[in-house]
Amino acid sequence: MIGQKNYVKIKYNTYTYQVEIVNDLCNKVGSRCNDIVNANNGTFRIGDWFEKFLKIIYEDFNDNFKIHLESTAIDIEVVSEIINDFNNKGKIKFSFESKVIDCGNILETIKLIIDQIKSNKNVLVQETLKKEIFNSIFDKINENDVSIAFLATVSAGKSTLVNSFIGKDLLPAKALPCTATICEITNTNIDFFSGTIYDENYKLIKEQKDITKEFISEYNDKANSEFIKIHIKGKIQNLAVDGINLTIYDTPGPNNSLNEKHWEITNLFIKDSSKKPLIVYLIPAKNIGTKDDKSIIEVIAKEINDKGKIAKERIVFVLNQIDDLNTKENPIDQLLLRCREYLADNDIKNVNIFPLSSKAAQLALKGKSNLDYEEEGDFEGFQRKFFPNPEKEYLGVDTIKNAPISEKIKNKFYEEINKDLDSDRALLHYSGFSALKYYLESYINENHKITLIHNLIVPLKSFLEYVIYNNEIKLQDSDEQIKKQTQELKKLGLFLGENFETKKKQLIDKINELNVDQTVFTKLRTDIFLSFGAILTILTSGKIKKEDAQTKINEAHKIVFNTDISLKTSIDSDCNYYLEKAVKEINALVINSFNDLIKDANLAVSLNNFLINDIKVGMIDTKQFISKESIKTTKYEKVGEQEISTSIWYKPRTWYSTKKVDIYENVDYVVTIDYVDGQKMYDNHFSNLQAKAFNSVEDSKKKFEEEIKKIKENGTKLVHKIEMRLKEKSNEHSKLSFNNRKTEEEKLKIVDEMKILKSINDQLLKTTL
Amino acid sequence: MINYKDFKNFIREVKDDNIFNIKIEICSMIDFFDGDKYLVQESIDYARQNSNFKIENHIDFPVDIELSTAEDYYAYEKGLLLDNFSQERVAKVMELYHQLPKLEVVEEEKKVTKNNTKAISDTQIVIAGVTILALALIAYKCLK
Repeated sequence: MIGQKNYVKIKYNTYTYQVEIVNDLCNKVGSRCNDIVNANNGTFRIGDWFEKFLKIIYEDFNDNFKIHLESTAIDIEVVSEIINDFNNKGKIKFSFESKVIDCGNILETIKLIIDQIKSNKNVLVQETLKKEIFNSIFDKINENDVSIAFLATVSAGKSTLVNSFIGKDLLPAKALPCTATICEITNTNIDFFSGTIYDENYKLIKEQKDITKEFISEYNDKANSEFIKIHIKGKIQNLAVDGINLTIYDTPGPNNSLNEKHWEITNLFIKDSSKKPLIVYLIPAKNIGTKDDKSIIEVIAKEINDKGKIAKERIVFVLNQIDDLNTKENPIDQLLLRCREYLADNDIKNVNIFPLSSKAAQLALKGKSNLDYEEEGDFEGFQRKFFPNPEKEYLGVDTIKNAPISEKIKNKFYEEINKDLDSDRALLHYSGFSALKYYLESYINENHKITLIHNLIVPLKSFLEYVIYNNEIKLQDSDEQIKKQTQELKKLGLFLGENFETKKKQLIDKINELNVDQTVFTKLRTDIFLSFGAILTILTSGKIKKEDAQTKINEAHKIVFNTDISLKTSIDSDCNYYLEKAVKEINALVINSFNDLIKDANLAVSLNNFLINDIKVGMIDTKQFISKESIKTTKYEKVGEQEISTSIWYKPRTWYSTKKVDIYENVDYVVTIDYVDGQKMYDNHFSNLQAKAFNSVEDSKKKFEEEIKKIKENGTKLVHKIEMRLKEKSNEHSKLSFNNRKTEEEKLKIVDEMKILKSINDQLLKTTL
Repeated sequence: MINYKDFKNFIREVKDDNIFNIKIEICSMIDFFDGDKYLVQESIDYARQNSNFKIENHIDFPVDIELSTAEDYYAYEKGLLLDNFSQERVAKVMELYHQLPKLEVVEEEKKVTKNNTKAISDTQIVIAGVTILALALIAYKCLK
């Protein structure tokens, strides 16, 4: 039985990340519980810290417990999953109840508010917009790009699926391998598709309006011999999230990719956990695992095992072409099981797999009424194949049941199907397309969109409170009010003089002591030693056969190349994540310290609130701390070719004959002898490669440490900046004048402007409640 | 028997006083010296005497990544040597080296031995052929 004492009521704002514990649980449980709430309040999303919170309750309370959460449906689901996972592991059980708060189309409201602010005529509004950096922050509403990359083995129906999403038969889809280059499709509001072709150096080759499949085919064929990038702009009709700029990437099948650059770009997508691009990896149902490029699968496996849940949500698998199979011999659940087993064999476990028929989806999206005679036959064939027929005891192919989406959405699809079984929509749902579309859109809504709203709403709130307060001050100019303000400001000045120095020193010490996670480098070093270790084992065994030696050299080059890719992609994105986290932690530390300090000053409520807001406004540009230049490393390159002698003493015809072999930097490797000494080979070749790999990591590590140093220095600068702001404010008492009062007319004007500002603020408050 | 003098790059790094690369070289030498304490110590001493390379005070780092196999621990600890080259850590790395499974090496040795045998046989066939021809020529001349 759960009593009142074993109950915690939490209010969490999805967009401001603010959290409030409504009952006094934290006081009962202890300070650790309060600490975790305070450290994350307004800075981190509930999904990032809630598991830790549960652990603390579990350790300190050790009894069954009830959690009540008021938040949006998105975060209620997040918390519910965390609680379920925790209950499965722990001895005590957390029960969960929730209240959904619907915020409506919040991004649209924010856009409206920003427009209203920008056109507002109030002097203070315009001055603040100019003085602080709000304008550039508010412009970020238009910079919110999200990428979805489609990866697949050869002929997995990738282009057909991409065509289904864009709603036009634009990318060439043949039975043979056909995507030879990376094709980028950006969503715009234009009704036609325009295409631009670039070369390796991003130089424009060709530009054309209203392109067709033939245009893409022409350049796609050219891409077989040279690196070409195709950029298409047009309306992506069947995948959209309000306020998000979507770009779809159709990549060459990894084993069809001729260019090293494709490999690098593909890696970048898979490993970039900072920008969180979505990855859709297609597996053909007929050939599960037979044609997959193991190197890509390895990279995906590593990413999923390193990053866990975050990567599993971002990387989804599509079991495509399920229409091609005999459903009696290969029922869908067995197919999915085979696919899971194949992925598990490659160390990819518990991932989201969507069964799908891109061909059926394409016809359903086209609409039965728009199909030609042959297509109409296919449409009906798909209906017969996918839909269950109880009279004939045929179960059909239930992609909906097997899709990794919530039961609520599945039921919604079934309801729509039951309304009109013959409709295009019914086939679309059964093709598996609707489930995938829903998943991708939800992911973007829950991740990219919330981050965007958070980054806008926080400064917006501070901005409005700041200008409203300052306008209110202008209206308070009676003798008594001015006297009171003067007294309060003097009190603040006195307080700062007495207490600030020690507290400032403590705060700066805390900033400098902040520990930033550097395990990415430890892990990478370990990986390099492991990879080179495998080669060293061979080299230390003594003499090595010539052919084996060359294989080992190639392996060593691959290690250096992969290290370089990792440094450019996953390590770079991990570093940015930890740097951003460090900035957030320092900001939270500074704002909490100053809030406590101001409370201690015991000022009037209005001045107290003003100062807290003033600090927030002063802190807004601190997000710019991270330098724009990301961590980069030098690229390892093959040096060229070398002619070597192939003469054999007992074969006179071979005397003076030579052959060409690849050579690399610092290679002093004679191929004319049958065996190579392992130690000499190490010394002549591997030693340099190994050093190169470690030095690249070391360079990145040093740059990362420099960035941390910079962040900490900026944290200290921020403390001084806020100190200056507070001191300036306290000195304002000398400027307050009894002789500089506003006229009644001026006051009325301010009152009118204030009404507008307050209504904007109310609008914002209502949206974010 | 090989020793540090066989590692030209190591000698060069010592000469160039490149501490980080000296550490990498010593890490590899542990494998080549088959974890022989004397040989490893000899190379450390050479580096200390001829460059600014120093044995550092030991720092305990908490294990912050997931490690499962002996190879993982060995590689991880070697990685830490690059940050903190202490006597304790060198000893630990050597200890971990001796815990590594040696199966792969044995297989490779067998392979190499087999190949060596084959290579010697080829040469022997040629030499034998040439010898027979020479003997036949001598015999022919003598008989003539």
